[in-house]
Amino acid sequence: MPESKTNTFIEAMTPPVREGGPLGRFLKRSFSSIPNGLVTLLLLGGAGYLLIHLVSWGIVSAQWTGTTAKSCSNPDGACWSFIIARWKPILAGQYPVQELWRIFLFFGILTILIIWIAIRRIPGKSWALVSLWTVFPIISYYLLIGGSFGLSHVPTNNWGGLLVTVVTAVFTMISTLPFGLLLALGRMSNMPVIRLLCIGFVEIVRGIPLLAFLFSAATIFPLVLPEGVNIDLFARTMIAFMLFNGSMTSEVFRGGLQSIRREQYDAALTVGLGWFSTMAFIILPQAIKTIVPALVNCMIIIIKETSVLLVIGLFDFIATIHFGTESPDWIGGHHILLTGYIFTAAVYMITCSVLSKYSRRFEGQIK
Amino acid sequence: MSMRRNALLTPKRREQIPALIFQVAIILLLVWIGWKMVLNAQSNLERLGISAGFGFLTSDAGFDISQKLIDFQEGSSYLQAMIAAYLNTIVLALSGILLCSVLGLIVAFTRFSKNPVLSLVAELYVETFRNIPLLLQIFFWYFGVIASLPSVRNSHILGSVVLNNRGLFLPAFQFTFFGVLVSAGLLICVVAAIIILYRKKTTYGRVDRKTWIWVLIVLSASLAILLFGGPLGKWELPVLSGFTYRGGLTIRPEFVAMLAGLSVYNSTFMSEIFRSGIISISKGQHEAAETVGLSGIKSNLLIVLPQALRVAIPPAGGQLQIVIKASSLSAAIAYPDIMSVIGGTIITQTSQAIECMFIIMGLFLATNLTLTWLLNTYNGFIMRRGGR
Repeated sequence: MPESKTNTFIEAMTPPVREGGPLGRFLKRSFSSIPNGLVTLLLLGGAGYLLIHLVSWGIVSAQWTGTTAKSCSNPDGACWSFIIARWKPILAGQYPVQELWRIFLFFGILTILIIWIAIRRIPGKSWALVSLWTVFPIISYYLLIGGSFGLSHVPTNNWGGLLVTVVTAVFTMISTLPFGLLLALGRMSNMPVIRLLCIGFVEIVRGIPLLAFLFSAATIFPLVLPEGVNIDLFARTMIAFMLFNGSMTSEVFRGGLQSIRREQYDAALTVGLGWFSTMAFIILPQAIKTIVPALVNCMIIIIKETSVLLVIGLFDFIATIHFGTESPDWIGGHHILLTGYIFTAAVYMITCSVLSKYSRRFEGQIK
Repeated sequence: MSMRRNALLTPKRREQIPALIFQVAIILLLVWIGWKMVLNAQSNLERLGISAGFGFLTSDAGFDISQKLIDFQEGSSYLQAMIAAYLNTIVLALSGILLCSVLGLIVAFTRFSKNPVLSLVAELYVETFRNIPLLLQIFFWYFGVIASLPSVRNSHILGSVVLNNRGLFLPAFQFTFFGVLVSAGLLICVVAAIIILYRKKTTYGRVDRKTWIWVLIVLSASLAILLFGGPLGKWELPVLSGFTYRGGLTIRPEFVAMLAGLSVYNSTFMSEIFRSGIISISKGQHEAAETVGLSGIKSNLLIVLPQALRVAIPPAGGQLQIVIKASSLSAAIAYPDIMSVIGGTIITQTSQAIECMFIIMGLFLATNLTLTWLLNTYNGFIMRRGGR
């Protein structure tokens, strides 16, 4: 046995010790050098100033009661009374007052379905999903438009506000998923005609702005229909939204389908499954699981897209706020408009960030 | 006979028959729908008294465009109006692309800052502006911020620069023909100088300070000659006439609102794209850069960024296409781009909806495809230079 040159071992170094508590580490990193410290101070000062301003604007000098612009005479304070006094047009536009319960019922059913689908512990997810694509659209149609079952008819011209925005967003989501899936399947099909049609549709629609698409739905679509046939603007817009977003979601579905390995198809073929059974029982269940976060991102995009409704002349959430400040009772205050914008922005922001937090958590669970 | 039929219909081919029938049926259905739509459109147009075709392009437009890069008056044709509008779209889209990329890059690097407060501010910026619809942001800038600027009578005036709720008025340099020639020559010289310097740098290492000083002297001298030498042109200042300022260069409020909205909103997405690119670069690259003595900024710009760009360019291209498409939102605040001029004014005046919408879609498609082609070329260039 050869003699080792030295008998002394080098002591292992002790791992670096975390010094100070969380606050100490924070201070150390924030004030590591003089310029860095100055930046920190500047940012903290700015944030403090902004916070004080926001509290004084939104709470201290804000106005909560009143029914006209005169009640909001302080231009340095928020005018929440504008939102509170006009809650009805902001919620539903010109929807008849005695029929408002139908809207509340619609929102109630929608909320229950969303909670049912979103929260993991509640059982029976497949029932909720199936009803979202079958019972829910039918019920909402008869509930909101009416005309049968003893409900009076409310034409879509009388709709407005949050109702229009939510209905557009929800029904675009519901209709665009099957359509996008069809496009993605068509794009991967063995039939050249179907494949080319789907590729052409998706690529062309993706190169066109949504607004151009909606303008076409508003101007060209009536021209190519037979004389006398008339589809109202709201329905045309929903169809345009479905077609447009279908091409977006189809790319997400395609990504999911392509992530499934070739062997899965071969194995399904080996046990004698046809195309439909292969897709429905083998491929899609695996593919959809991986693309849920991407699909939720599509939902966020759709929610933000609905703001465009105002440009083509539908009276959506933003429109009720924006044009509300031009109504005779509320005319004249620049701060009223700003209050409205900030309220709208907050609603959109909270909805979208909750959704994106959810999708990020789901992503973590998949991994 | 039966033998031949069997040879034609091998089992494999027999399997394909339903698919073939299905495809033929789809084609027939689409042709039928298309034919019906054409017939309907014809009868509808006839009933409304509209003649189809592009003949209207040459007739007088009879309206004015508030922002124009080409000579456009009330007597000009619809075609000229479309060209002017398209140039406006290009100006808006290009400045939006540039600004949102720069902002996105800054925010992305800020989020990696060692200073926790700074990175938190960057994160809040992204989370806030990403989740508010673009249209609402444009409205906020236009009706909220710009509309609260003082009126023409009470403008903010700084020298010859005027700011009010009608826009930002800047002095502009009006070139004579001689001036255009000289400045074009100068531009060629500058480009040549940059190329020579770049070559020199790559061949011999650094460019020495003396060369830089000479370049600066020549550049500033020529710039001075250009701007103050009489025969090249003269400065035109904005002057109050009637209800607004005229002359000089006017940056209109619609443009500012569109640009602010487009670049702030899209910079959040760009910053996420750049961030994912930066994350994909291993920490070892940063440490290696530190080891050879590069400062923080230098290691970011010279080591991390070029590698991060390779990951970021394909998704960034997609986002920039979105910027071009989103510029169509200007129809909401009447910035005269193709959407509001062709889709709004011209359709209302001529009722040629089908032709106009096809022109709009064609222009957007062509612009997007050009951008894709440019980015693919650039991507290929980067990939080659990386030499994998």
